[in-house]
Amino acid sequence: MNLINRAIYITFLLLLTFVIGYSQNVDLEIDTSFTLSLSNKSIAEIADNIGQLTDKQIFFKSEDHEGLRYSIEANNIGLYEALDKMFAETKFSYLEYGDNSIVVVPTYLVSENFSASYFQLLEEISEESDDSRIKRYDGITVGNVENLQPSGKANVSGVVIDGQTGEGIIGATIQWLDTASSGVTDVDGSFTTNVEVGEQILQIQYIGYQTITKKVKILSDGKVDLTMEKEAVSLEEIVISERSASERVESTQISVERISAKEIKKLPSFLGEPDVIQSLLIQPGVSNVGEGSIGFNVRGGDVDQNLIIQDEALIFNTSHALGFFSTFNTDMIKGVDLYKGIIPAQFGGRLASVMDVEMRDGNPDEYKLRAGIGVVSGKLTFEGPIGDKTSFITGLRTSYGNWILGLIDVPEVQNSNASFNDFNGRITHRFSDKSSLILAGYLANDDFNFNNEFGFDYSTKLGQVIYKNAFKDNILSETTLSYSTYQSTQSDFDLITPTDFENNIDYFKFKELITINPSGKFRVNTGFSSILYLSEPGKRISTIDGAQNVVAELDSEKGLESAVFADLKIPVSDKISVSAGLRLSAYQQLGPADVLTYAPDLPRRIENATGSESFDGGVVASYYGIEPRASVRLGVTDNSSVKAGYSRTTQYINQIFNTDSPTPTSQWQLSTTHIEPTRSHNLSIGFFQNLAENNYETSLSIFARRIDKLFDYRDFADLLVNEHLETELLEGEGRAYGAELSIKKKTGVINGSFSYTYSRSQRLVAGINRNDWYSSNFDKPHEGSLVLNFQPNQRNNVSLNFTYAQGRPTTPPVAGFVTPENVFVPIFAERNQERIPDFQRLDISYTFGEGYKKDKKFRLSWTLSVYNILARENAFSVFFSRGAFNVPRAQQLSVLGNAFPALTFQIELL
Amino acid sequence: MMRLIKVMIVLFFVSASSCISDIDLQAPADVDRLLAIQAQLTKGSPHVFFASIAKVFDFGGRSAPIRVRSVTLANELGQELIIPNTDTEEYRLEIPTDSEFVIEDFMTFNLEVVTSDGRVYTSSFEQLLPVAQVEQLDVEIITELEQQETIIGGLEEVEKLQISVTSPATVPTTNDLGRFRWTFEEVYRQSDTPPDGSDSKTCYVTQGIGATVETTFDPTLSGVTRIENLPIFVNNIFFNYAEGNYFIALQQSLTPTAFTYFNSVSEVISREASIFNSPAGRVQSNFTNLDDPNDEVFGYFFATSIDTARIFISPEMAGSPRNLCPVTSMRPTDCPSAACCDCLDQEASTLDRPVWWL
Repeated sequence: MNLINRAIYITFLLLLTFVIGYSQNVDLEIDTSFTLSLSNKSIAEIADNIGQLTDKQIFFKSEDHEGLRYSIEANNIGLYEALDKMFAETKFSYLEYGDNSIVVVPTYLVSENFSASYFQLLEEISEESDDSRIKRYDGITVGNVENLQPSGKANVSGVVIDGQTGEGIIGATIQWLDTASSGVTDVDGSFTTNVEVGEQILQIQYIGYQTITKKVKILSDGKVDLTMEKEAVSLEEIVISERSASERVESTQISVERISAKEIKKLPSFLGEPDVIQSLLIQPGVSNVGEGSIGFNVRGGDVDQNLIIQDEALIFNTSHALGFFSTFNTDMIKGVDLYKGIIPAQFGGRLASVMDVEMRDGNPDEYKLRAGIGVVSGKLTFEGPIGDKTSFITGLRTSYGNWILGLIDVPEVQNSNASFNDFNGRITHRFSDKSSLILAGYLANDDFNFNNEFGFDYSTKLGQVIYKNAFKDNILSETTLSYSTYQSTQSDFDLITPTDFENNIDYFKFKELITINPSGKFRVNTGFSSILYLSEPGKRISTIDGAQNVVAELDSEKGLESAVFADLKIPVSDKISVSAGLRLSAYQQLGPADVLTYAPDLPRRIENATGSESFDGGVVASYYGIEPRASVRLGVTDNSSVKAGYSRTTQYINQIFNTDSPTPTSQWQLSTTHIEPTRSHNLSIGFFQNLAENNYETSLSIFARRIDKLFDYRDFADLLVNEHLETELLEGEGRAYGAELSIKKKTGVINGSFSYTYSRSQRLVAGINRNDWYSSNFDKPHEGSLVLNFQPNQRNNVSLNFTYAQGRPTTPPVAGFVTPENVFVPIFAERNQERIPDFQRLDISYTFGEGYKKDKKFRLSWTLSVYNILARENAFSVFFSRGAFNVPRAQQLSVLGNAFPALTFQIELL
Repeated sequence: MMRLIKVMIVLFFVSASSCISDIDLQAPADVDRLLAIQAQLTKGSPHVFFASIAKVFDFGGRSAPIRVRSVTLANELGQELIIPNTDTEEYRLEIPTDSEFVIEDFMTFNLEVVTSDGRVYTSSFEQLLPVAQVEQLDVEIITELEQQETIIGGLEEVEKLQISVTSPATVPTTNDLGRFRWTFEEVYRQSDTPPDGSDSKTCYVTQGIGATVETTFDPTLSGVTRIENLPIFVNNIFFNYAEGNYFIALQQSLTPTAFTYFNSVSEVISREASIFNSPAGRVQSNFTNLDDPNDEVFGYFFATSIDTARIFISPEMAGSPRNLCPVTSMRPTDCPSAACCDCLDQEASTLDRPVWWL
């Protein structure tokens, strides 16, 4: 709208204001009779004629009537009666202003109650309606007067983004000063606040960023997008008063760890490659079986009991190079949420935890290139806009250790290779402020060969479509369709029986998540999801001629896992809030399939099979899960709270492995007639206390879990390409319990965290250890970690990480005998009766050059890190060899038995 | 800067290796009473019964003798055969084919051992299955990478001999798929060079080989009816191939339960340091103490038929390895190797050429 039209319309609105005010007090008492017949005329023509025939002037907003035609038929009737007929079938009505004016307005305005803010703003605008004053306004104007609402309030939404990365900032505080209106940005950096119209002061704060304070003139609903710049000066100067900082105390959700990409990158890492999984391992209640192992354990849960999702897509293997690196490129992720035990109802299918990795969108405003070069790998990230509404981001990471291996004059090294690469691509198109479409793809490949003795080759391919849409500002819909395939091959280069073992698993996943009142204190998450699994559980292929006798292939398997869910977050009072949810899950094993039947009351062994049943298709077996979740928060003080939570979880797919750590080829087994779903009760209670204006976060939690239908493996279980896998499994139950202490200092020149966990994980399985409770492989009662960051300024950062864990259980030999062929056969103790030596590791890193100046076009940084600086030989496993006089000799295998220095260079074009 | 990067790369590869080291790990040693009974009935002419009955080695490597009151072999007909007691832990009895104690294919047998303190251990009944005859053994030289036992360490390529077997995979007369186990022997020719100048002798030395592996095969996993050129053994090439060598494969028939036992033994004896090791387990015996089910016992009793196959490996086939003798010495009268001074001065050595030696 140009300024002249704007002034005219403002005058019109001001007139309208008075009309309304008047009309609310004066009845239409005079109705002049007149005669007029017009057909298919514009409002202007009708108004002119009426003006000539009566003493009434009719005012209207011409834009509202553009293209509209009216007819009036008045045969000596009153004007108002004629106007009533004329507007009867339209969305307009009229009001009388003074004695001689009639104003045509939209019908809905006639019955509105107009607030004081509304009139006040119109007065202000009227006063400002000369052009010069409007031009001089130095604040931000949101909305327009045309859409000014009678309530005098407006919904102001927007996105707060990081000026360097273009990604939304999670948890920034939105505060309209001198009002009660405030908000916090969500996972996309978006916010919505309801605030009085007129001139307001907006303040946005987030730790590590410069606080933004803006004058904002709010006219109607509208959008304001803001960019925050990182604080370039001493961290001590940052004001720590953000509301989200207290979220750990104020949120009803219990047992959740949130880690940003920035935190991940700050930690010392193996060979300088920031690692998501490693950053989880310093969180209380999270551990793994040792260095170089795949996956992690949460609160006594097995590795496969963690649901790992990347923007709703399931990831079956998170490891590169057999677990030394994770598959998540930290330049591509926004943050990670780890839900331990008490899992929101929208997530399901695993017993112990959910690791929710959120990927970030590309920068919508400018192109950015980031490159990093490390000792064994390098990565490149490129992002930017495609037109006005679309952005992209791509990330490529690849290892280049093989050519270096070839330079090493050691045959064992020369004959090995370990290479990996991954690629992320993501295109985000914003149709409007309220809807967007995301297309995402992910590829990861690994090739590992040790000295031509054994090897693994595995890959993940993933494609996603995500559509987000907001309805009526308080209903958000997120629809996700994902497809993924995971393929793995294990090669045994044994000279006698060289074989390849292959297995694959594909899935299609659909999920609809609806969030009602996303920014409010009362919130509902509801929706449904469905996953169709297609599994090729195993194929054994001979890799030499003449050994065709080891070829075998299992039939493919199919399973459908579906769920409907709802979560309600209910603020009972300022002190008490409740979150309650329910997930109803269903699983169906789909045919075709041949199912053995076994004699009742006998061990499930092939020799006890009594027959078999064939299914050509349809449902072979069905299971259901009723999974309630609830948590309650009781505020003790403004900075402390007590929380408790319970959840019931069900898992319909399990990974089959009896090694210390799963291998890339460990089969994902769907539930079948004989392999029932595992189920878990999870309970957690915690006390949360923030100190020093939320700079210190402390918490003490206790947890307990009980797992039904848990299975373990027989001694010498044959798990590879086994058609009747159920014969190798023994059913039982599990329990886990413990306590977690966490102290975190978030900012300051010296900041960091300390955590200690006492945790037990035990099993009771018929047929193992004389039917008595025994420790699981990952039962490590005492674990602790200390992270210290020394950051005197933005350019220099020194990080130190110390980790301790009690040794995990092992099964030692206690005796032996010699066969007639003079073979020494060791006799092992009961399962997991002893422990390997305790684990300790100290890592340190120094990053130089993270400083930021706006006028620079690029930024360089160097990171020097030493992993395991004390060169401690931590045991991964213990094994026993035959020493002199048949004395078993205990030996430990240390996967990383030395200090690992690394230098990483990173450049970012801004 | 490039110099720094090079230093980092070198440092990385110097350190980038896993390591194995001895640790002090105390394991429970309450194994004084544990017993291992290993027994085998081999059909032949004559049939041979062999048993080894001993206490297990405890963690300290000590093995104690066990006093046995009786060892009794029984068949499914209810016939019993008392095995004569010995002063050692080994029991051996040759049973004539015309013995009253019937031993025939597909019959089942069990063993009972009564210790001097009254414990009675009884095995399950094991079926005697006939074994398919080996059709052919083949030998070829292969190359393997092997860790050098030197200060420098590292790997080097080593030539080895690989033996393969071809045989039906079925049980004779029934044509059901069988299960197989192989044990190995070799007989090699070796001439001495006495330092006193006396005449050289040629001996034939027999020895068991493959004492660190259990070689088994289950064709039922894939359903094939023939074993085609299946590699069963790889042996280092030493002086024992310098004058001619017969490799002998003893192909045994196993029942499914016996196969499971030997497969388990194979698992526990082949455990190595690896992050992908499957967990250790207890090898289940087919002996039980009926009076006390919690009284664990180890070992196994099984009945088997054996087909013996031999293949001659000439020095040329083995790559003409260097002979052991003569051994050079600073003083010609010394005898640094007893086998070179007198080839009979070693176990299982004879001047008699085996009848099948061509």
